[in-house]
Amino acid sequence: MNKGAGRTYLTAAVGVLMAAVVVFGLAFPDSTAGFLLHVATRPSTTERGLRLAVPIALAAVGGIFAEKSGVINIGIEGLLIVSAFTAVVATHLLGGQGATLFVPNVWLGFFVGVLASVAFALLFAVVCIEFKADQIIAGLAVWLIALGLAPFVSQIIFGRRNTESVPTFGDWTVPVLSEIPFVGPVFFDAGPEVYIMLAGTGVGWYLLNRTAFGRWVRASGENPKALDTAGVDVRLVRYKSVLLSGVFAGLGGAGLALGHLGRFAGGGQTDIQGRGFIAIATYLFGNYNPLGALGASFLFSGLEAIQLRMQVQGFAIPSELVRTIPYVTVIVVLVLVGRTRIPEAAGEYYDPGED
Amino acid sequence: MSDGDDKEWRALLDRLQTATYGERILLSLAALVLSILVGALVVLVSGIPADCGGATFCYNPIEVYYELFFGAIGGNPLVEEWSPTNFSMATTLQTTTILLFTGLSVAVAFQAGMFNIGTQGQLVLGSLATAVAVLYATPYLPSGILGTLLLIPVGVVAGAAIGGVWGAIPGALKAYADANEVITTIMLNFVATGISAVLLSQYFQDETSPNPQTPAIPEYAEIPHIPVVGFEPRIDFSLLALLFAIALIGAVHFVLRQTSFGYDLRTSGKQPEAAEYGGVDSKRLMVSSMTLSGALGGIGGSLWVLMVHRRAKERVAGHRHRDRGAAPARGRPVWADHPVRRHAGVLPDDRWLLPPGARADRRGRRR
Amino acid sequence: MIHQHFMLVDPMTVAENIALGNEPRKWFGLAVDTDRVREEVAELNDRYGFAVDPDARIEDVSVGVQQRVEILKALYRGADTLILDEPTAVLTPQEVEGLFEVFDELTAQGKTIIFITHKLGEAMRTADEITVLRDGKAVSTVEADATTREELAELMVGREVLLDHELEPSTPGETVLDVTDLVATDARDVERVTGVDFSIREGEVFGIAGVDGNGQAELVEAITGLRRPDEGTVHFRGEDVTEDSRRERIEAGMAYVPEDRHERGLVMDFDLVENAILGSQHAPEFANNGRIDWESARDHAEDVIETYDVRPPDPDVTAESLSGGNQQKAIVGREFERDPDLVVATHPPRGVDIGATEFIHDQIRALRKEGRAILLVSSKLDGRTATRRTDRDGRRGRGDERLRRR
Repeated sequence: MNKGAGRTYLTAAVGVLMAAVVVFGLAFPDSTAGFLLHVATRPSTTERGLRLAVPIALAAVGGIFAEKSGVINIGIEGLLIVSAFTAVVATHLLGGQGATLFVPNVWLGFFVGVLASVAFALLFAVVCIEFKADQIIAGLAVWLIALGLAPFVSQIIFGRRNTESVPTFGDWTVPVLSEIPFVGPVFFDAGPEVYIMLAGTGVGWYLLNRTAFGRWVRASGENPKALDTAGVDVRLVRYKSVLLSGVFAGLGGAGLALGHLGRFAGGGQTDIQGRGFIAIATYLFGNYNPLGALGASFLFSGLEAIQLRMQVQGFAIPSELVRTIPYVTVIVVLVLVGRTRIPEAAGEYYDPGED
Repeated sequence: MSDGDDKEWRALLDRLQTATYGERILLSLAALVLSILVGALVVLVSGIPADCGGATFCYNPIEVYYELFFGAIGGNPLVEEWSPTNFSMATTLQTTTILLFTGLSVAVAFQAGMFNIGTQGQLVLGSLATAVAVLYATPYLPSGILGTLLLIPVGVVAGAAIGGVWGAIPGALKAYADANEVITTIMLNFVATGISAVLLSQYFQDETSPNPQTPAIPEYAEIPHIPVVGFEPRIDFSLLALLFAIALIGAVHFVLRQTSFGYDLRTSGKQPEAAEYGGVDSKRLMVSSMTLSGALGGIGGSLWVLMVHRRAKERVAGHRHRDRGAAPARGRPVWADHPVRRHAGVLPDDRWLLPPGARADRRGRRR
Repeated sequence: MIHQHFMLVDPMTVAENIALGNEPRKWFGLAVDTDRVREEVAELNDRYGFAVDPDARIEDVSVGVQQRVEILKALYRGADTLILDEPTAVLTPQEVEGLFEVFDELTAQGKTIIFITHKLGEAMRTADEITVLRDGKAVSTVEADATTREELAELMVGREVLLDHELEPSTPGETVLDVTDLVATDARDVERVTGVDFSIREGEVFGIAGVDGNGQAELVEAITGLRRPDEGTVHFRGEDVTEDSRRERIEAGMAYVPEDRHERGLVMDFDLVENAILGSQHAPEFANNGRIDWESARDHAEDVIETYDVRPPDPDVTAESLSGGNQQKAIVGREFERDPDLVVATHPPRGVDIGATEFIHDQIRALRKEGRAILLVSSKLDGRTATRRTDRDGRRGRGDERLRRR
């Protein structure tokens, strides 16, 4: 298969499908397509889609940095769990509503959540870069530790797997602009985490494509020896990249927890529900471009938002089946773009001594 | 750190990678001891927020480990009256039996150089297939001992077949589309849960129950208990199942060590390039080894039905379907209050994922 | 220092590679000053008569251009002395001539060039002064104008170069291997083998010499069944085996001593008994109804160990624990004992001591005498020993066809 051919087909298929829904929905408003169109075009669905895109898009940007530098971070699911859970707990412990030292507790909690994710990413980086651990196993370990730790700590603090509710961010309303019909309430009357996501993906793109550091990251994943002989410390670049993946995933996880959930359920797959893995499929689909990943994450979050709405409306399709759609989509994405050109040295430990 | 130190450090790391079997055992023991210590620390720390009248650390790790160990075997034989066929022992062995299958499943994939994180899904669908196959076959087969002898194989084969198919999918996706099996198997776990929930509630629902579950299989289709030496029939554990699991370990060991297929599989796992050089069709091997792995996971699901629940249910293997909101946990498994779980705090329920032996020694990247 | 294997990042552009690690910044370091890089590259282009497009991607330009990028990288960093390690190995004759013109330009502008080569003609053509290294020691330094090729050759080898043929004349029999119009690409879809034809007959040693990474690997893999050729056919004993799997080819009687013993030739974690049947794990000698006969595998391993003097002579040690030379002997032994019609061997004596090298060469001669066909691939200078043993020397490809650098 040609490079990127799968991606082209997939994009085309998504486009055709969406166009079909629109045309069919407009023609027959009473059909399933009509209902879907109705649901999808409601501002509340779009708004929710944006909110749900936050953890996926930001985790994807984080994953891009790690993988581009040559460290496959399959543990971003774990980073999302840790940051979301810690953000909720920290906010709760600070007393929920109110402020500490003039900073709203929600924001302090948000910050602590990001920090926790970075700490986990550091652990992962040390194990992979210092101890030559297999990146896949180490990433799985990050996930599994997070999956166990969150409900465990919750049990200690709250006496059950699920945390208590904490206050969430309010919406930030941009005056005037939010008055624009449809676009206004969606983009200019949204939770701060949505702005963080939009800004974060932009910053990620800029960092990767316009700065010297971004070039080093790319070189470190493609040909670390070349970077090394050019006098740049490959290990340092990889450390920074993995920590950045912690920062971005942390923003996503804490943003989801304090912007959308307001609590954290630790049972089963926890409230993160595989969004970290979806993020991986997202950036593969987006061909390691943060902006592409942002676009692709709307696909997943849009599906989720529509599905939630359909559930509310009591639609006939079994909700369990609808819920599996994103996961099936991840598999389809992997199959079609699995042969994407991944960074040449991704997954390999870099040993400066070897020839 | 000086250059010299750095070199020595690297040399040590290299040494770890080329450790012999004896050293590996020592390393594993060291890891075990270390994790016990870390566990003790976690117990200590988690005792801080608890209220126990003044003391800083409310929980004593030694006491916890004591309870953990003797609780699992149903009491301390040295200080109290103890029978090896007690309830706790049965529950521990029951869990052990299932873990043997799932562990074996992951181990086979691992030997072939792949991570089967999808054992959970293979188990879920395998259990459903077992229950459905047994329920459908029951009317056509005699009851009594003969029924037992026929229905159990039917159930196990059905579980193995569906588990195998579910395992073959990520194998094929990896072989022919380069899709990373770690992610696809995790995704397929989610999908399996969804499919099983729908199939249960829409097609195989036990009409008399409010819970999503199949009707019960006939009593004679359960794995029988061994009289005298075995456990009480009332307890959901059969020594025969454990013996079956152990026999299967022997069989898998035989396949891996003594057959050409096993040779191909192990070679692929150790060094894929060498395997291809030796004439192994790596793509087909990926599919076949994942099928075998999935089948073993599926048999684990069969045992849940044939030994433990007598039916397939949504929360098989303690898999927790997203319990959102204040909905009370339905159908809490008996062993949820088992000491192993109680004292381990909260064990997330998807712990069948990785066997203890998933070591990080994949080779092949060597230059 | 310009390495033999280029230190370039393939998906990045020429300018990005040149500036890598030394990027000029603007906006308080928040962005790379790409205009400045482009200007400086243009300036260097002008000064030394290069015509390198700064915006082309490395993976899209030819090897000759990539080499220039390497030189530009050094110049961009203000280097006064350039060390080039076997830079011509990967170039076409035209590109080599272009490179030498660059050398002239650079030296004319006061740069110093240290040029490492084993080709006498190149040294004579470019150098002012030549230092000959042998066995890691500087043997002699001579003025290029005051020496001859013969003198240099003698200094390199340490004795008068013998050109006599040690092989007794052979009487080649039927054609064993026939390769026609073979085209093969590497993992990155770059064509490495471009239309190669040759055939090998019974009792013939066919040699392929040249620097590593010029398509030998792809050619050998296409013959042995590890790589599907894009075009062309491979006939073995008259049968078209182009579509046959690796296993079918092994079973048909192809033996293969691979280039990389750590990755391919041996399973490092397996003991020698297990390694002795690699490739024969399904063969009737060692497997019965899918069950491996470990007794005969052990006998076989012991045979190989004894005949090929593998040390330690213990079939239960892992391949990993053997020294490189002994690993090689184990592989050569296993493959030669396969009773093959065709032996494909890449650097068979690599890493073994002189005695073992002689033994391996004796074995090759014996195989030849028995009427087997042998395809020998060799690269480095010491490989000339092997080349001397060949009946014919294959020039890979016709005309401007070439095997391209990896």
